[in-house]
Amino acid sequence: MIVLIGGKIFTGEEFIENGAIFIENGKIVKVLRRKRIPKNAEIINLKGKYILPGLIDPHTHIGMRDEGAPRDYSDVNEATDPATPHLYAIDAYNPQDPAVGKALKSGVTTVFITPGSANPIGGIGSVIKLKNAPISEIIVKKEAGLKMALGENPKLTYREKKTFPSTRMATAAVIREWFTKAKRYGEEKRKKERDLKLENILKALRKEIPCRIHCHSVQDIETALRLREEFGFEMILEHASDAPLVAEKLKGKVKGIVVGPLFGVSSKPESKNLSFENPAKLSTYGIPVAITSDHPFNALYHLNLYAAMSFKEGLDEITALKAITSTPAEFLGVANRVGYIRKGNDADIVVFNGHPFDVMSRVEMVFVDGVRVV
Amino acid sequence: MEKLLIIKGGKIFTMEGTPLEGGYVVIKNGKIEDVTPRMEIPKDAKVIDATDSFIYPGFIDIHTHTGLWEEGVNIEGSDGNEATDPVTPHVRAIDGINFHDDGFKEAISSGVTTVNIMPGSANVIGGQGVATKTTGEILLNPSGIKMALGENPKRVYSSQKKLPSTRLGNAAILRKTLIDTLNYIEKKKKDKKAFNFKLEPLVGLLEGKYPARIHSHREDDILTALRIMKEFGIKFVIEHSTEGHFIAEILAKEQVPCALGPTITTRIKQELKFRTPETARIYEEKGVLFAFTTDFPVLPHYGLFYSAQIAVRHGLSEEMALKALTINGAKILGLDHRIGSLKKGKDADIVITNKEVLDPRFLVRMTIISGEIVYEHKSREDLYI
Amino acid sequence: MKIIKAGKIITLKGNEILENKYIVVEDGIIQDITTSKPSVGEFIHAEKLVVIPSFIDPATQIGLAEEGAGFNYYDSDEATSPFLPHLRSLDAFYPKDLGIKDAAKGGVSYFVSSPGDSAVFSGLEGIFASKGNTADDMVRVFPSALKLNMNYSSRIRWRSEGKYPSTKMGILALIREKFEKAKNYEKKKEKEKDLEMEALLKVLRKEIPIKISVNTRDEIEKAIELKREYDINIILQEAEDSFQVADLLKKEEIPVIAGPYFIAGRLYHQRNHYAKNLYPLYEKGVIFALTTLHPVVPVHLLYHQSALLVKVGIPELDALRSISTNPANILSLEREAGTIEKGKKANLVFLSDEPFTKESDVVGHMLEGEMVWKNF
Repeated sequence: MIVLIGGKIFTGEEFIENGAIFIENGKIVKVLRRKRIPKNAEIINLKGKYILPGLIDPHTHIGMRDEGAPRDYSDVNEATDPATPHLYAIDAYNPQDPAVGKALKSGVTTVFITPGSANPIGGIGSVIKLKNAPISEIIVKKEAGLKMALGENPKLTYREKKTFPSTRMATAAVIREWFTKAKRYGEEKRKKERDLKLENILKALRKEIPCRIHCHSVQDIETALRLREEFGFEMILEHASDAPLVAEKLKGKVKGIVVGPLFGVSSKPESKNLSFENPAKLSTYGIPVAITSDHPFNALYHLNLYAAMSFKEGLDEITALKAITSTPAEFLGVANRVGYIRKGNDADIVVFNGHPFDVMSRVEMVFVDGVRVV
Repeated sequence: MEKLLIIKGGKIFTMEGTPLEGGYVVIKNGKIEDVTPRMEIPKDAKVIDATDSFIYPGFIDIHTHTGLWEEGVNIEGSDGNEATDPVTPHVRAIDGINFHDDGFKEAISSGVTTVNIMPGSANVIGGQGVATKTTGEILLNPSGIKMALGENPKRVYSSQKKLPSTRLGNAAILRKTLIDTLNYIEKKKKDKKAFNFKLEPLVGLLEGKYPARIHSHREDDILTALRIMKEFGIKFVIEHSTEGHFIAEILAKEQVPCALGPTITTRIKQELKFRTPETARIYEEKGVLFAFTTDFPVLPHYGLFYSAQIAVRHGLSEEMALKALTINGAKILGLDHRIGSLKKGKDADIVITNKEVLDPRFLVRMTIISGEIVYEHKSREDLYI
Repeated sequence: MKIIKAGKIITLKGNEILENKYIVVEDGIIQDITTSKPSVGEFIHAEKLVVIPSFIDPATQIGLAEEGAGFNYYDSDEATSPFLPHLRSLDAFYPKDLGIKDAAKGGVSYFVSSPGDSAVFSGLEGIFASKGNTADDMVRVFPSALKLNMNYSSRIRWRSEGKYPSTKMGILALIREKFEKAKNYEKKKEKEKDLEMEALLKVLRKEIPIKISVNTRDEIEKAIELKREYDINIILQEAEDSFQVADLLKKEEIPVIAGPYFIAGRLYHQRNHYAKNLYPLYEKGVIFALTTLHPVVPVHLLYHQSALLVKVGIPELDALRSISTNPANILSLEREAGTIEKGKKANLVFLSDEPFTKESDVVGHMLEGEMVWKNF
């Protein structure tokens, strides 16, 4: 057993001071305000430190486009067919990507890896831990979302190839056609043969997995709402630069919004309103917000600083801390395992020597599944 | 008790007979409650003084691409032509429109309250159009299936070395697709599992639920449209009808409505060679039902009024010019129970102007849509001119 | 001798308005404007009409981009090299372009016909009249300017081909390179005649101005820098952001050719392309002329387009100036055209009513003393 004593513990919901975290067999067995420590436990004194659940980024392509590799080695986008719901991001994951080690050192322990936004229906994303182990052992949830995309990316990808879809109308038509086919496939009592593509869409229609819809501008957000209205799936919007402009319409209709990448300059017409102010604005409407790097568009290993910038632009401290811990865990449906420091969850813990929003703070320790990795 | 909004005129062009010289338009709950020469104004009513102004029903443009080709955005905002397949009945204008685009703001400040937005004319069958108020309120979706004959589809696809690259090809694709749809309808009767997402919207067309809207300039393209539509019993509207004046009698006899315009552009294509400002006058003479259109963004929405002014100078009656900006378009869209004239029970879509709209200097003072004041001219900055 | 009995004459000399006068025309020139009725001559009865100076469109591709022929027949854009200053629109001018008759019916006496905007230096342009049978009898001044494109259209052409210059930096570098080369060419005592360099020398010697297509504020400022650096005369075309630097344009006395406005579907660099943005130019006294950029907008709508200026608050006489007096001044035709006065060419438009009213239309057009359109 390992016991971490003292410091300011952010549980994923609130701060606890002068507490203790008991870790055994990879899990957190107890979180106490007062200490009663077993004799043969390994004690680590964290007085003055900040302890958080291992940070979580709900939208990355880490391991799919390795740092330092030539451009022909990018596996983020299967841009040869606009509807590829049968693809799995995990099948393109390379744990040797140098970014993995850097991310761990910065306190990020769990990520959602996903196909890119070239395709209107891109494929299935998975939740994995960034630990050094065989791929089968790092999967927390294999099917955690169906990646979809609206707006400029899909239409410009296929316009270059002079194929459907090359307009927003056609992007929506691709989605509607496949979702309608999947619905009918679902209604068939006896299926002639398995259709892997339709099966995955059916999972989204049955709300087993959320649709993770990449969009920026108001018109694309409205298209997402229209599609949801027609097909009844659960959705999380990715980026959604203009979401604050239509927040009233989104309330209650979206499970949450993943905001980012926020560092750097928005280079496209549709994303010109993406701003560090967005998380605060959306929060005032009660819309859950998670923050992402969209690695490699922003580096995964500064995730705490993106939350810090959002905090600087008006997001309250607790919500900002949740945005990189418990909120993404909820979005990904893995809150029973990660995102919280509480009894029963995996012992994924990061220790900072100062407030995680202080740019001068450093990560001193990282635990994944109860094992110290940094 | 819902408050009344009353506009005190001024000349009121009701489009339901002779204009009223002075009178009142009464608005309640987004609808026109009354149009009357005399009334006693209730104390709590809001009154707009338009005694020195002119009052019209909201203007209607039945052929635009507002929001589908965004202002100031280049290809990232260009979503009107799915030029990757000449037959795309399954794509819908509504899924590509940016309702927050400046094009809508220009329309509202120009007094255009309803637009019918359709995919472009790169494809023989381009997709589904939508009739909407310029505030974004949807009136009819789908409002029709956009089709195109003539130079555009053949130019787009000949450069891709695909069918169609001639007028022969245009017509063949259209007929083949309609026959495929008939086959599909038969198949569905026998097999409940039969499903074709692409052809489904054409089933509604063949069942008469909405019309075909066929882009055609040249006389022969218009007659090809007529020939094919008759073959399949489909009701249709001719878009542009540039050479329609040569066959006005046929159009009148077959009761083919026309979306006339854009009339004040250059003859940049061969099929525009015989464009003339006399077409509207000839249509009036021969009894062809037509409405002016801008084909926005080919012309700005205010181009409607210049088109009408020039047609009047070439012999069109002022009365018909105004009809072709309002009630005729409403009739062609099948929405004349809701829009197109100032009549009790219709939507309160009203425009107040400082001069008659046939005066080249006119400005819109105020635009009201569904009873809400959506535009009020205060300074030069408000204009999208 | 022709005598026009005019009900009302708006001469555009200041705010002068004359009533019930006779305009005496001979040899294409206005010989007199008088109250005493001449005894001899061909009478033109315009008692019920309003006579104004005829119109001039300073930027079109009439004759090069022929109407009704289709894009494949256009000769307006030699998009094969960014440096083609020696091309002459006169050599590709088709005198039977349908647009020419329309120009005549629309009251446009003179128009500039200019090469396109794919090349950076796209060639020499000239002034033509809307009557005549051949290019040589229609031309009035050739060349009237050298066309230069420092705008989006030329950058994007070369960028799409992966060629130089494909950025703003590249375009300016090319311009400077070529001007320096022209200066060197001039200094050489013995040399072979080089048409391209000769064209540039005309500009460097201030024999002709350079007409520059620009869109944004930074492009306008760069154009002004070129003017100062090489001491040349410039005219700006399009220049959508000109209102942002109106004071500078006034100070440097740089005129702007603005428009067209019966358009929508603006590209990103045209976000400010609205007639209302001409008002600051009017306020600050910057000289601007309206254009149709035919075939972007039909040339005969030049007069109707000027009504938009009235809508945005510019006084009617100034709106009329923007389509007659101002383009005449910009094109150095002020001694012969742009106003109705003794000694100038008899270039007149007959309107059926006061300008810009509901009933008002161009019902007659006299070009250099000849009635090229009469519908009254």
